[in-house]
Amino acid sequence: MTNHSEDILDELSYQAALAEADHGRSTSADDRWSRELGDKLQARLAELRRNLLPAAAPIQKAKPIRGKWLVLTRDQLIAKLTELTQSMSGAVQYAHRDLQGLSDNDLRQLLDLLDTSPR
Amino acid sequence: MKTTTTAQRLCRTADEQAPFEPSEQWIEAFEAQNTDELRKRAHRFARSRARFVARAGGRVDELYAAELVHDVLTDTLFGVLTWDPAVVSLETHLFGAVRSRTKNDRLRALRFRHQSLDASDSAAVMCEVETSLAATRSTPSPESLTFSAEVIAQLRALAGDDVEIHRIVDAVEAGASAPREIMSVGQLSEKSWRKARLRLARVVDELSNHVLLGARRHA
Repeated sequence: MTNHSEDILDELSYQAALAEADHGRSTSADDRWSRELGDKLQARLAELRRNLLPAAAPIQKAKPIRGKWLVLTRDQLIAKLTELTQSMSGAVQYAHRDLQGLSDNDLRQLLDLLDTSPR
Repeated sequence: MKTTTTAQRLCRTADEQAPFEPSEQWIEAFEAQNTDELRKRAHRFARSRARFVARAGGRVDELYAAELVHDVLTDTLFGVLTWDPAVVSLETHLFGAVRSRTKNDRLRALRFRHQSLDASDSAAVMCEVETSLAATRSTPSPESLTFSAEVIAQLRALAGDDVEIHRIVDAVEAGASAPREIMSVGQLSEKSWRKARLRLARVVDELSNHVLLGARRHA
């Protein structure tokens, strides 16, 4: 005998179980159990997907705006921004096409960000 | 396939566990194959294997089969069980793990009839059982071999003059396991193999009462 009796019995039980999987019937309680388990597993899959997302970047504290920008009026700020972007000939881009939508403080922060001179 | 039992997990230390972070492809493969139909098929499979454990004296209640399927799927999603979608289908992995765990539960029941096997048992008892079982897994005790030999003899008796069931048993005794091997060694066509396997399942079901009576005789 090639296999010992415990392995033979295990194999025969395995074949019987496969036949039951193929031809057996499930009850309505089994259907409900399967759906509930499916929901539970789906929640875990969602968690695994969330784990694949990159971790949130640390929030950086804004540096104080240089004094020279604080004294400018809104029109002067927009003119300066236009001059700066033109002088850099496309090397600088920002998301706001219409600067009118930005507050004076936003304009100052943008200018300060573009300003490469030492503080 | 690597499988890990509850007791082995309890025996592990926290340091050994690395976070499980499968790829998007892995998640998609699991999601696509983890269908309602698969879970119900697995439940029927596990129910049949549960009777196999109960026949050895294992404590099996009505939730046992459902918990087996639940545990294997969640253990796979937590990385306790390794599944490679490029190598085997989720069904093969799931059925294989249920088979392995029920086989362990059966052997444990045969060896430790005096021990309770509930999941609520203390980790220490489970570790002791698992360690002892692992040490002797490759060599079943003479008692369990005698017991299973008797069960096979009873199975043959119940099969009566069903030649095809006897051929399946002969083929498995000769070392065949995959369906193609069993068909080849047992000289069965695919159609007669499928029909005979169904009759075998009925005979295996009928075994329970006979075997329990036999086990009582030995007690």
